[in-house]
Amino acid sequence: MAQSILRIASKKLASTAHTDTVTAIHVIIGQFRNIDIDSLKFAFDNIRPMYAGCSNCLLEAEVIAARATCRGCSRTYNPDMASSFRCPQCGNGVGQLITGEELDVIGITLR
Amino acid sequence: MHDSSDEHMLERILAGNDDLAEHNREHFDELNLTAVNIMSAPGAGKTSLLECTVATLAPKHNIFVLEGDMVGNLDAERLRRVGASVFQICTGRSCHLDAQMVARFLHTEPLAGVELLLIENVGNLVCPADFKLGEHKRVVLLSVTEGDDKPIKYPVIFRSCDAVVFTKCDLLPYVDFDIERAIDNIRVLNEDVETFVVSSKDKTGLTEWNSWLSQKVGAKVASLES
Repeated sequence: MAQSILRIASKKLASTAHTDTVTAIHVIIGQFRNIDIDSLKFAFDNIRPMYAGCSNCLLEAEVIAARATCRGCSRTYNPDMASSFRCPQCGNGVGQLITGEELDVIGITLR
Repeated sequence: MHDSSDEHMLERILAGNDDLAEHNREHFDELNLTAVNIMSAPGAGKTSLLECTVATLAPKHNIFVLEGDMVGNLDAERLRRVGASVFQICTGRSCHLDAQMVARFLHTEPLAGVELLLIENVGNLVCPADFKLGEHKRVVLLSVTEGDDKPIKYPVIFRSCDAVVFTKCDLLPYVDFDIERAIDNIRVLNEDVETFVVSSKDKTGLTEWNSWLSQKVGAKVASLES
């Protein structure tokens, strides 16, 4: 995952004129991705020197809360582990996930 | 001193893997084979189930096993002993197979005539869920020694799979595992999932599992013929 993020940043750096350094990479990670941000940052910090122009760049990660439509009553709710992902109104399960599966680079700061 | 430049974008972090997985899928379809990605925690019984599966289905279908492990070839050797054709991928420090590893295998191994490719992923309930390989079906094994709460703890993999196989069910009298509760926990996340209750040791429940696999191969052949 960290490699993929750094590859995207390296590619962006190479294609942007008058820049030679990536100072920050902004990512969004959905709650339903089961990704531990601290672990991702640990891996990221360890491998970033291997990517040209990225040796000191920061990883700024925003977690996006999960929102789902209940497949029973169609209510929109936040499925979470505490409620075993059940709808608080009718106890039914997760239908369509509206948010929570994001795994995107949304911005890169170059210098 | 240089100025900073904020480049706004939206790029999927795993786009590279997803694109390559699509490429792999095209290869599978050209070869007329059904690819099944078998995932579980370490020690859930993937290799034991595949030993039984190969032994039963090999006379009916041309099967190939792609074996993923971080190191070693112990599982591949076990599968060869039951007559399977096996290709071993050692992932090193990576805790999952990815589409590039499978692509390299596809460009190395002649698979003409193979009808069913069983991919045994590295034992892990987290990362394999995110890394598509190009498979047609995703199967998760959950052994009864792990606990029926695992679907709640690892929702991503259970939401994205087509089938769940409960393994080591000969141990059910000795462990506090409620199959119905486990199925309920999975269906909250994944309404359409198919479930199988098996014991590779006692050879129970395997007929339904093997039939399901055979149906997938048959459906593939039928779709090609139509």
